[in-house]
Amino acid sequence: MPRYLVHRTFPDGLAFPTDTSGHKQVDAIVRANLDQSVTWVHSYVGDDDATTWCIYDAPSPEAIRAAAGSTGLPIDEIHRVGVLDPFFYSAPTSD
Amino acid sequence: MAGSEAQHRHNNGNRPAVASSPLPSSLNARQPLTYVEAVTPQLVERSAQLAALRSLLHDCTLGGRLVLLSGEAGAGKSALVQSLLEEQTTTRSLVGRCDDLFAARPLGPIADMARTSVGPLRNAIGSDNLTDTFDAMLGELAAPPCPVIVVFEDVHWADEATLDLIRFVARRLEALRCLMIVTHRIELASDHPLRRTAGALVGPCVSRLTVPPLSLDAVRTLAAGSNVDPVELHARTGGNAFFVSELLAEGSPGIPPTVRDAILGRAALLGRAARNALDAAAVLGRSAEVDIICRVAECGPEAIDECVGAGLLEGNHRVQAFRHDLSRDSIELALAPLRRRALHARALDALMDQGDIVQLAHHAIGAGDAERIVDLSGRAAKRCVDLGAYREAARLFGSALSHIPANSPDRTQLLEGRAFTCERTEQFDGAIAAGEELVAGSTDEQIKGRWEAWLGGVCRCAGRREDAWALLASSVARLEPLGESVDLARALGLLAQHQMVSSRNAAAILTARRALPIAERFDAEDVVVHLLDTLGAALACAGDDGGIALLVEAVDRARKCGIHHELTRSSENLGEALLARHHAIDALAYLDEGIEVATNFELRFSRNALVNVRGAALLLVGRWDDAVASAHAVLAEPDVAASNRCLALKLLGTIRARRGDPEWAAALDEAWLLALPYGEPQLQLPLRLARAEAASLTGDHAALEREMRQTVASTDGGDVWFAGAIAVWCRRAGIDWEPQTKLADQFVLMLAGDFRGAATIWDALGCSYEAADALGQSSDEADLREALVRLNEFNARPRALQVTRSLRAMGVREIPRGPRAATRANAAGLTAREQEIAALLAAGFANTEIAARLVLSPKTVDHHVSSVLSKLAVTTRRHVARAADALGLDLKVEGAVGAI
Repeated sequence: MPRYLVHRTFPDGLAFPTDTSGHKQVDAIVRANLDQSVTWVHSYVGDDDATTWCIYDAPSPEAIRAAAGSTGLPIDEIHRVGVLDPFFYSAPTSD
Repeated sequence: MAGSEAQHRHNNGNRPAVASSPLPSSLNARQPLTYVEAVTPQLVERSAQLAALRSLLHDCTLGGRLVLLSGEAGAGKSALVQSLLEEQTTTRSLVGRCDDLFAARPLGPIADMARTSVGPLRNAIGSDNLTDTFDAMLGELAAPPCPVIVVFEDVHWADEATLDLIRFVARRLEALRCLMIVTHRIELASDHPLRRTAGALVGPCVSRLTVPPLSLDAVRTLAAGSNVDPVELHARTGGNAFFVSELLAEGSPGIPPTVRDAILGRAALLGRAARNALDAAAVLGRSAEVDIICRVAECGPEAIDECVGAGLLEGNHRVQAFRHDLSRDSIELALAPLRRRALHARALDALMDQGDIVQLAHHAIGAGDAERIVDLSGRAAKRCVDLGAYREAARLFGSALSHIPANSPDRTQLLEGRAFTCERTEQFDGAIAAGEELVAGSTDEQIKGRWEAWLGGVCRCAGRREDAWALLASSVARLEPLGESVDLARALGLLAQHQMVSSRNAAAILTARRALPIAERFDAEDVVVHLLDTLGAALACAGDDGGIALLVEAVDRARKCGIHHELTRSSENLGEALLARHHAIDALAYLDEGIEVATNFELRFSRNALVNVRGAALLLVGRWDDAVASAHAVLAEPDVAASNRCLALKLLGTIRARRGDPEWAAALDEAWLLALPYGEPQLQLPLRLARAEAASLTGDHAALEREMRQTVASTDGGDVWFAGAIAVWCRRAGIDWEPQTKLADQFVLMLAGDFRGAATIWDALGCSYEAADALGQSSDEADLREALVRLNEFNARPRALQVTRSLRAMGVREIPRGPRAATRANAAGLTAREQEIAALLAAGFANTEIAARLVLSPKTVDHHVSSVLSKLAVTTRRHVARAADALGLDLKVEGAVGAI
């Protein structure tokens, strides 16, 4: 499944407290995503607490938009991305 | 083809041989052979599937359930069903199997079920009336005691009538109290009719269950106590349950290189009479009656007992069956050709006075008995046609034809059957070969001309455009001197259609006008409707609105006479003609009817074409989410025609580009590659415009200019309905281009720089994005601000950014950023207008009242209402208030509600 980076801006800031209410919010998002076969892998949150860059696995950009439609999350931009990991570029071994 | 799968497996068995067994394999010879018995005591790793079946059986007391049970050959589908039936002994069950015959027995599984039935089905079998059989099936399922388990085994070998029956029952499941289990192999050819059936079986009552290969752990469990290395066993069998149990039954690591050899080795232990019985049974099919086996094998029943003892056959005193298809395949494949022919000949004699005609034809073909093949295949083919099994019929006509002498007077009738059944099942090569022989073989000019015209129509569908021209011209030239006839009208109609789709509208109009009075004089209603449709479409393409009225008439008359393929064709043409005039909302109404008919009568190509036109209409009225869903629906279907895939990709690419989403280029590029071979302006020109728009949205001016230069070079300026868009995009690309035709008002206004005026027209047509895009080209600050708000409602970020830049360049400060200002204010993403309408809906206003109150056309209100319902995810207006409440939307009607 393709991987996407979704850039979101929350004008009023965002807060996912690590208690029951936060769990409820996250759970609702995960459930709504499930209907579209969308998986929220994880997110990076800007230190303004208003911008997020979220990594998603999804069948298409439309599926991400449809999921956002039911979760009410804003979308600024969607990018299709791949992974580059320095781990795989370690120094060649002697053999 | 019998045994091809076994052959395939054989080829896969090329792995290194292992050390031979320390035990003689004959020590285990009495062990049961198949998975069914070998693992029934411990049906390993199937508890989840069995539990799922149990729970579906439980649910079906509330309403019928259908489960499609798939797995590779030998995965253990039958074993799973068997163990469900064994534990549910008190539940009534009906089991029917499909067999691997040259052409499937029509309704074979139903005959199996009828044999054990005491209900309505028992009397219905043998009836030539398909409706009676279908009704009897429903009656059987509805009769107490309920629930009932009904099993269709191995439907990858089913005839079309059986597939029809499965769909027929599936559509009525809710009223029944049955669990319908349909098993099939997972490996299917891409054009296998079952794919279509499986695709059509959707909905809350339908579930899909796979029987996956066994895991290494499961193989370990099964292999416990034997001296077989489970890792090696798992690797060699790929976890196939049958292979695993089979190889375990051999009881040693010294297994022969293929399972086939294992089965043959087992068979080799049989005495001569038993071996004869086994060979006879293999030729007779998956199951056969005991006395028939005995007659074909010239043996006594004790020979069959020996096969049962060896675990090869199972059954009762009347009917015996192979325990597994793979064993039957292996035995049949191993028969020497002459011996197989002799057995088929004896089977034919034994069954002659009682067998099913299709079964007899199968044996006649196997026996290579030319005279009887011609007779039996011909009769079997006609029976298949009666039952709607066209694919089987085409095959049987083909086999009869390959054995009938070229000069036989009966040949023509077989060719006609072959031609029609091949055309009907889209096997164009077969249809063309039969048609060509009919043309060449006839000495009667009228008949020659009739078949030439038919052949021309088939060639057009098959993409052989030049052949189609030659044949249609020759047909008309041949028929004309013979005087007016239905044949002549039909030939002219096919010629007109070919002219129309090749964009020779003027010629198409002339041809159709000539043919219409002839068809009317002969009361040939189907020809009249075809001509009205072609004439209407050609006129509409040429810019004549009279064409629309003719298309509406074609739709009405096709509906009245129940000519389904014409109804779908005319509604597609009508939808396109309305869409070309940007009357998207009117188009939607006609398209919906066409899609419904195409769905009900399984006209798959038409359905996808109509869904694509509907998608384009939805795009135009701003329902992008619905348009995207329709594009994805077409793309998700197996084996979509290139033109249909191309249009769906174009739609998807356009919306992605407008939203600034990734993969727009991939979609448009693939669409372009698919469009290339067609060379049709209808396909390529709009695609170039879509690419131009996408280039403009990404700020790639060079690409925009290149695309428009190529567009201009490839059009003669006579494409009335694209001329406006071409002119506007040429202007945006900085290219001078003079349209050769009158443009629609909104384009004239845009070229004149009156963007506000153009937007008003676009809005009246319900084309909101086009209106916003037009306003965005204005140099007036208020226009640009409105454009920005409206583009943001669409999440049309790339265009919104362009408008923002224009505003900045004008020195405007405080430009609203992003779509939040408008849409994001509410959770459902309703626009301001939609919110207004949602409030009125929640307050109980009818559409006409809303239209009057907001001074909008009723059609525009209809569109907004659908949009509101879809965004709130409710199906009726009565639920709007509740849904809005749940989302925390504050719907207030401005002004007093009682004022109207």
